[in-house]
Amino acid sequence: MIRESELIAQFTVLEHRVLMTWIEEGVIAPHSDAEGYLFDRIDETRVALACDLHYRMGLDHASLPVILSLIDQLHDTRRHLRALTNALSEQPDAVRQAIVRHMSGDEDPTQD
Amino acid sequence: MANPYEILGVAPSATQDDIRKAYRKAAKETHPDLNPGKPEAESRFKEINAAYDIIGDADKRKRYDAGEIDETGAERQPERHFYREYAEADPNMRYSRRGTTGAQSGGEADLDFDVFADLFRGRGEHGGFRMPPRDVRYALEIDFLDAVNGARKVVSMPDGKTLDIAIPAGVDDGQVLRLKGQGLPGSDGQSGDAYVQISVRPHPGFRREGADIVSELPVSLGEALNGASVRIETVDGQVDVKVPKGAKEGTKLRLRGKGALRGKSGERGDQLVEIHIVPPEGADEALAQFMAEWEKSHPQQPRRKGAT
Repeated sequence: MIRESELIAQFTVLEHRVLMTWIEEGVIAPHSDAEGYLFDRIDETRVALACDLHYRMGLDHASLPVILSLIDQLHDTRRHLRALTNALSEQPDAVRQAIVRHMSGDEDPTQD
Repeated sequence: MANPYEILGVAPSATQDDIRKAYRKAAKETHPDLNPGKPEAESRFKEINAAYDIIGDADKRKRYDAGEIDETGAERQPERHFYREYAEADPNMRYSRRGTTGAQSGGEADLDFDVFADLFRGRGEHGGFRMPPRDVRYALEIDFLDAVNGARKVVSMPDGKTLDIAIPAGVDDGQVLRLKGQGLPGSDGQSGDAYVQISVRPHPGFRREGADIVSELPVSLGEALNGASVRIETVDGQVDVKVPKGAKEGTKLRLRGKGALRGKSGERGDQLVEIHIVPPEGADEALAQFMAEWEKSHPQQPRRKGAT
């Protein structure tokens, strides 16, 4: 976990007031303790992503939450997909093969 | 491309002076115009120049040594991690768009995920995936009084499902309640059942014995000897009871119909109030002397077999 000051030092393009705005808007959601905000790895990399989108790729402030929300939904979907594939991996071969056939477009309605 | 120090044949700790000397020597040996018969001289000469470009200049050398630039002079990116490494596997799911309740599942598929719901309802293009309705099992702890009197409870279970339970009056510890239709839905729209095993929390003042409720009533010696009217708690409110004159330790008073429901008959058991005699607190000299005197004319043999 690192503190605000270390985070700002790491991302030289990032202005303090921009970071505060991002926290207020929920773009970044760090932990807090008595001395202030604490950023762990997931927060740091999210800040890096936000900086890339805004400072390197020119994405404006208003669009930032929208893009991040879409990325988060994407990760939710990936998480569910992974859980589903884990569940499938425990199925008998015949079931898994039927699924693979179905997914590659070899649908045969008589096979179930 | 190789290490510039190696190309010039100097140690990494060499001084700028050493490096300049090494370069000049190598340049003379490899300059194409000074070696017209050597075709390989050209590429070697270019290599030496490129190397000297980096470590021949004190500032650039410093940056190369620090890892900020590579041997071509290009900026080297520091070790960088990306959000995607952390996002999918985050156990806290802090940035999940499904809200905070997802955290408990720790990345497991939530059956509310809309795509899965379609899957189970068989709405896929090809007639879908048929799934039967399924039963679910839960355990629920309830309070003693709710078990005796019955209660209606709406409970959130750990898997996120909400159950609407009518707890019947008189339910026993360990009894399993069947909640029809509160299990998991099948692809035909019917739902299975939820089976809830009840465990009843003990109560500090009441004990259950079948359909009867047992409680203890501490009384003073005087109250026991002379009788008394005492207000006590029952499972459905307070009542006054009469401690009979001469009540003994363990005497049970029976309050009819104040117990728990007896099966499906609609009848209730009784509350049994056990008298417990509490001697006076503190050592009272006057009482001790009185008793010693009184016992002389009222011999008592408490340790005789069969004596009460």
